Amino acid sequence: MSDHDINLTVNGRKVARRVPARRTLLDFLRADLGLTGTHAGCEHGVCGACTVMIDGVAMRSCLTFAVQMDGHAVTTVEGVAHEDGSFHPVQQALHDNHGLQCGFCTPGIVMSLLSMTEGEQKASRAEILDAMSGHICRCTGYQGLHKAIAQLTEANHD
Amino acid sequence: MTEPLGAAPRFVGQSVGRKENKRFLTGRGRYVDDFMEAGMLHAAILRSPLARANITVDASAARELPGVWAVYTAADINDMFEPLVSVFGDAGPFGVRTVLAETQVSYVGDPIAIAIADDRYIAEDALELIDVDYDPLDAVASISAAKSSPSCIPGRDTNLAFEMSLALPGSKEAFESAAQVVTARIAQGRISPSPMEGRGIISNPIMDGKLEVRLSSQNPHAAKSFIARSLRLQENHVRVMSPDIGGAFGQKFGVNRDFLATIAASLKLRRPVKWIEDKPEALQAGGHGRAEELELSIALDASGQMLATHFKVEDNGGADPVSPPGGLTQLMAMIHTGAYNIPTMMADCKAWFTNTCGSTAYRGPWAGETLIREITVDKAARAMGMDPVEFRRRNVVTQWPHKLPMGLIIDDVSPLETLDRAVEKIGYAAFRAEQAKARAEGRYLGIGIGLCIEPTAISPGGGTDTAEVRIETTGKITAVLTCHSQGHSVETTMAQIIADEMGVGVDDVTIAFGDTDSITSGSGAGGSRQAVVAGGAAHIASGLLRDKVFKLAAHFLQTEPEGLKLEGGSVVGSGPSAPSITLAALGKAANVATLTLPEGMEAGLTARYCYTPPPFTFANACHAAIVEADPGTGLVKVLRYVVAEDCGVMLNPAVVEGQIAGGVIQGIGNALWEEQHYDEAGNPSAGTYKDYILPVSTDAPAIEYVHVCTPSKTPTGAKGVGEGGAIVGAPTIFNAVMDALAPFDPEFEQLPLTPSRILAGLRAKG
Repeated sequence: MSDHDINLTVNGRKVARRVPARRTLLDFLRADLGLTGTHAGCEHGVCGACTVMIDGVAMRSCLTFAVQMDGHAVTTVEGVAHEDGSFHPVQQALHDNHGLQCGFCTPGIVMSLLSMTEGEQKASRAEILDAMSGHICRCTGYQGLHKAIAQLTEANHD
Repeated sequence: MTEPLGAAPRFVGQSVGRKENKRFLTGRGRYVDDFMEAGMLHAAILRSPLARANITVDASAARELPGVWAVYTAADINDMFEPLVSVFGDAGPFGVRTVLAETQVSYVGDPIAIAIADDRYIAEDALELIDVDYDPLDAVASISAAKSSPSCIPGRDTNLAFEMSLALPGSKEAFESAAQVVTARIAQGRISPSPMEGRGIISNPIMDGKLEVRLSSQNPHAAKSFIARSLRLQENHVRVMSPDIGGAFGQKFGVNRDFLATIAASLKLRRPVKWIEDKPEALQAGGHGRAEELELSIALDASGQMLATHFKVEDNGGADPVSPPGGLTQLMAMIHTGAYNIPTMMADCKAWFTNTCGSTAYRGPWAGETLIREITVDKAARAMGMDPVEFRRRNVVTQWPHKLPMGLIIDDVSPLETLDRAVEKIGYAAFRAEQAKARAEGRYLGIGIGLCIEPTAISPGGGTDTAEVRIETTGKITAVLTCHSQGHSVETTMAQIIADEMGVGVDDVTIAFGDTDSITSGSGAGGSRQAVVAGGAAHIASGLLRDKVFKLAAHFLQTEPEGLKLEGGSVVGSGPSAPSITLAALGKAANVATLTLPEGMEAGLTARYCYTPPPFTFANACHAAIVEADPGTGLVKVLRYVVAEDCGVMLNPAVVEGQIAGGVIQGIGNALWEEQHYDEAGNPSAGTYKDYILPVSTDAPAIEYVHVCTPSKTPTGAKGVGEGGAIVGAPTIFNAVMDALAPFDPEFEQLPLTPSRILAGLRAKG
């Protein structure tokens, strides 16, 4: 199998590595870069635990190969909080509303919420609710997630 | 240099924000797969694609692949182990008792070989090169097949694992004299517990014959004992560390054969070896819950009073259950009359071995008793022409304590109050008018009720947890406990208990757990026990520590310990001068400046308590749901969901509601979507989470809560709350669907109620 040189940005830092063609972005982030906040859930694109942002868009890192990331910018859950360590509003909303329990699905949920609420995107509450059906949480019954979405979209409409 | 300690309001009863959240929200949680050891190798496991076959295995080609360190089969590692028993001990019966399949595989997913390589990719490549010759045998995949077939598990004489029959005095007469007997049947869908983090292990043989294991486990102490016993190791040479756990729901109670194969590989190679389960493996080999067939008959007099029951259950234990099949059926029989006045009963319980994945604990493993009872109670109400709420009111026990027919005494519960409060909250009376109006418009709404008493903190024969609480040199408090968390928030709730007792802030208390070297044995998580048992230990240990603090403070304040108080991180005396000394000063004196202590006083400020709870602490709940069912498509939508529960003193209401909600949504999944089905050849239907349907956020109704509080007689007054939602959620939804589709005279005898099953079960045109 072939190895490839890739140059990318991860959480704002430049990264240059040589990777086998079959290495997933998920394994690359976790094993090669030590960014273990991105979790291997189902590894077949259903559960959403491995979600990261690629060029600002939420994507499944388990279904993406590292070699595809040449020239792209990846943001993981480790790159979300503010410089001083304080929570981003998405993290704050999940914290305030008991939106997590075991925490395993949480990084993926943070990344999807982030991609739906950051920058120019002002998704409606209904659009976010619909999008978040792409994340499986086995602990919370989604009650806190629904409240967190309400909190985030209220802020959006300010 | 010392930060001041926080103010001290009462924390117990407040929705204190979780201490765990910071690391989970920033990607700093540490689950087993996040640990890397120097020199660590990676394992992948070859599993049988057939339910039953004789096998011969040739791994020679796989062993030659560059990057592969070893490929082990049964011949290489099985003799390292004692015959496998249950994590509960050696009272059988047992199914497959070897770590890897020897000459015969017994289910789809049965482990055959383990490949160890530089990384997981290469290990999986190696699996492809293992040559297995399968000579297929007839599979025994269902309970009915088990009954009519010779033994399907190597080393066993019969497929029957367990049998119990019981007819209490007066039960036969009650059925003979009954005005009416109502019988219902239901077969459960097999549940894959499906924690988002799969099972995982890093086994690390260290020097001096010792073994360090990082394990995704609910109860590392029991795992340690099991591993030591299975491998004939000295128990204190095994250290199990269970870090953050990404959900468990009962699945991570046992130590599975996959873990033992990984440990064997690490011992043979003298290298750390990691094995992380992937989700297709979880679905076919990670253990299944709820694989049972249930039947209940209720004998009634002419007024609708229940006279007796006949409870029947048959449990499909699969091939390699983590605990002996049948044990839980006895508990089901014992508690199946629930909150109703039922004087006598009969029971027939059986369990079977089959060529399917072994059973495992799953959230409320005895839940079948509540499922079949609440379904049958609704059916009985219909048969009597009575409203299901009124029928329940007529039969519910109102005098507590109450002795169940088999002798178990239940106390400190409030079923009638939760029934009344749930009915009031959901607007039961008004709903009937809304339902009639909707039906006139061709929409089918239904309401369902489920009433249950949940045995929590189940500890027959003991089941202790220990808390060791100490004051550091800074006055901050560290507590090591034997509890665990797979999302249970015990870092927060245990800190709340201790902070209250010690007069400090929640942030001044740090909770540690999950390392068997750091504290004596304890029960861990399971059976809705932590608020009661670990909470009880934390409460009592803190009180003992406070006594020590007062004794030492009295020495420095030149007063008597009586009359001292702990508040705001200081010990304060009484009287106009109110002399005080900080916990920091006491911590420094006790831990460092020990020459200042009174003569003869032990240095350090630590208290430890090992708490043995009562055998059971009962919680109760009534759930009420409104659904819309479409008789054209068979689709069901949950519109409203009310939970009226009594878990005693709530340590943290947000945590309580989180536990309930998670359970309820699992109960809805159990009722409507979740199923790992086997065909007659023993092939499982779900290979991925595209096929095994887990509830997602758009399926989840907003849960409305009513909290009733009847404290338990345990140190915290709490009762367990972890399983009730999953136990009573499924029958509540089932009853609502039956009510919605009543014009079609539905009959459903199999969960989940998928659209095709709903359409097939409609017997009238409506």
